[in-house]
Amino acid sequence: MAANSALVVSDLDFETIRKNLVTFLSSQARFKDYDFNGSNLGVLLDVLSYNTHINNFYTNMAITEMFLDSAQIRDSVVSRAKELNYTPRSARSAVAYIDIAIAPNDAPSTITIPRGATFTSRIDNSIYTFTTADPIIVTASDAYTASDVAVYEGAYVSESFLVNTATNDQRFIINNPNVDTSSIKINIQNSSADTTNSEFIQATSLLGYTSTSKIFFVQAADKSRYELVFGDGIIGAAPINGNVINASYRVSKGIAPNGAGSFKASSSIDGYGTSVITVTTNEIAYGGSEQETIASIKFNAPRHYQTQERAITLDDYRTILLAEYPDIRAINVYGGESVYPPQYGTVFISVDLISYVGVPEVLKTGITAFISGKMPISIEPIVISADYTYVDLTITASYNLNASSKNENDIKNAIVQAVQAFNTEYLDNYNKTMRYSKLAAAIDGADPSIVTSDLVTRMIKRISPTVGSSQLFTLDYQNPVKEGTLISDTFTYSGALSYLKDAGNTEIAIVTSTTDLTAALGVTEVVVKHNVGTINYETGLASIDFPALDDYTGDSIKVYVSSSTNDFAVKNNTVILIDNADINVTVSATRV
Amino acid sequence: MAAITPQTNTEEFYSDFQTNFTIHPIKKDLTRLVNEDAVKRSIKNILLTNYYERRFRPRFGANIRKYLFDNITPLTLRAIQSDITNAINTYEPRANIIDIKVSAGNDNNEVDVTITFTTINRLQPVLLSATIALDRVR
Repeated sequence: MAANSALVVSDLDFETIRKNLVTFLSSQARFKDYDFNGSNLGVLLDVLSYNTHINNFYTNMAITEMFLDSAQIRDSVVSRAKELNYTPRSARSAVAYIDIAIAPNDAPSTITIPRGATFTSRIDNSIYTFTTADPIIVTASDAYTASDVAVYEGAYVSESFLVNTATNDQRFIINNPNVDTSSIKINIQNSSADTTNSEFIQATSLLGYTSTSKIFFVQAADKSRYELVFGDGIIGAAPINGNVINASYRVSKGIAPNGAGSFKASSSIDGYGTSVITVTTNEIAYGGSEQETIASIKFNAPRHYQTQERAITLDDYRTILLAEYPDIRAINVYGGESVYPPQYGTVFISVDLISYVGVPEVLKTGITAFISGKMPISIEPIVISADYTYVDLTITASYNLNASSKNENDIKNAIVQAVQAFNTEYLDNYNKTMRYSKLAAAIDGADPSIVTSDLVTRMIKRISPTVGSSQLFTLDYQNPVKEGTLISDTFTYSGALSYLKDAGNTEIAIVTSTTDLTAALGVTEVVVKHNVGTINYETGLASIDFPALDDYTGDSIKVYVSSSTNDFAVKNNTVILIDNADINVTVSATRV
Repeated sequence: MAAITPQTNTEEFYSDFQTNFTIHPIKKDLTRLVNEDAVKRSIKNILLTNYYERRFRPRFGANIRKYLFDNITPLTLRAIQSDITNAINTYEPRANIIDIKVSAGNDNNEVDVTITFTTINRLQPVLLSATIALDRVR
């Protein structure tokens, strides 16, 4: 047999397949026109190659879609995730907390704010509808005021299904892909004629349910939709022929309504018009999110399977909470034994949100309630906000004019962009270390014309004292601090522009600068108030008992310290990051 | 450049099968087209193929059907002749064109094409006549 008679079958594209066929045919002499496109053999080779190519493509695609790792199409990813008992997160409505006060012109004993009462809020040119999730009754003794009412973005829609057991595999698919599945309420009516109905509740596991439990499950369906699944009469009651399933749910607009802060009633409540309804915002809208992405499903599904809906290891907490709360940008979980003083038997959950600074108390409560059912008994979850350590940068760089046509400002912008990229890649999260050498290298690499740079770093904590009242602040820099380097932004105290400073002996004082014409340096510092705090240079823990201030600029006072080491790391609930406002760059030109 | 070996009567340089896969009555094998006949079949295939007919070879063919709605004028016939020349030069390296005659079959919406060529390894001219009907294909 000729040496090239073996047909290569591993290639996928048309040209290579055809070339392989030609090579194969070249081993025989009966039909020689395989090299000529116009020949009948050439036509046949084209057809064969095309057919093989299409088969290869189809087979490759089909097999690719069979595995979670390689699937590309959402329906395939969702289907693979279903095998791992994972339901992709639906769109979630943003939630805001408001007070609703009604001033009726009569004196009813109660007023009922119904489920689905609508309120609107405007962001830019878009108006969003928020609705109540449950009916609320207010009374005259409450001054007809409902406090801290959760209103969710999205209007309620209804959908009905007629149960027909004669249909094999009847499915109850919710048609709107933007449904917030946590809002689904199901009522099953006996029949079209008999309106007697009962409410079914959403279940997430089989535990504790009997053959008569009125439950339903939500699972992912095709085309980004969700499907209602009912019991089979063994676990959970099964709907019977002729039942009418009435589903009511919210349709969410995802992340767009996050930040909505001003609300007004858009429909009358219990007969009282919008003109007598006053709305006060307690918490602006947060937590709205889009349907889970393909990448997120691929990440979460195997981890969800690993956790088995139980929070045991630290990764379990992260996985479960990230899947449940899409608004969480970063999360850190650590045991109470690692905090000072130790709190044994507790787990600290620190979260940083996308659409909200800090963590609203209601969300803390919600996370605590959600995670408690999945944790071992006797362990208490404590949800806390992230604490931020900012990095102050003073950068002096010089660049070679002979190697660049750029000006100082261009180089400065390039350095700022390099620092921002460094912040995104290496910082801006929990458990990160600020590496001096890596940042210096990033600055030097910001532009090829930079010949040298000098970098000075400091750590910043921001505090926001209430003007006119004294307050105690604990600033944990979590790293050794150089003696005598603590200094703050200026504020007004006792009528003088002052700032915090440590004298190098662990004492922090409030000082002010005065111009002394007789002194050699012209400026001297005068202590206005001694001993307002202390700092431990070894641990970086500072305690400041702020007296009542007259005023300060902006919304916070920055307190700077220099680390004893070039690198500094944060742990527990601290996120380290570089704010653009703290990047100070000076660029000079030189000719080399 | 490789030397061209003169063809003898017994030598087969080119061989192809029939378009309709005709079975040899005695050997019960596919009948074959050899040498000039194979090249003629190839040229005919090129003339009857239009652009985008071949998968992954969108510009293969003489694309004569594009003249379907043109008036049959000497200019059109000249353009057809030019297209045929280009197509054969591009896709049939075995043929050296001696002459191409294109005439109109006005009543039948046809063009009659007569191509005289030699194969590259033989000096004896070969005559190929083809009638191309300019019909709609769909």
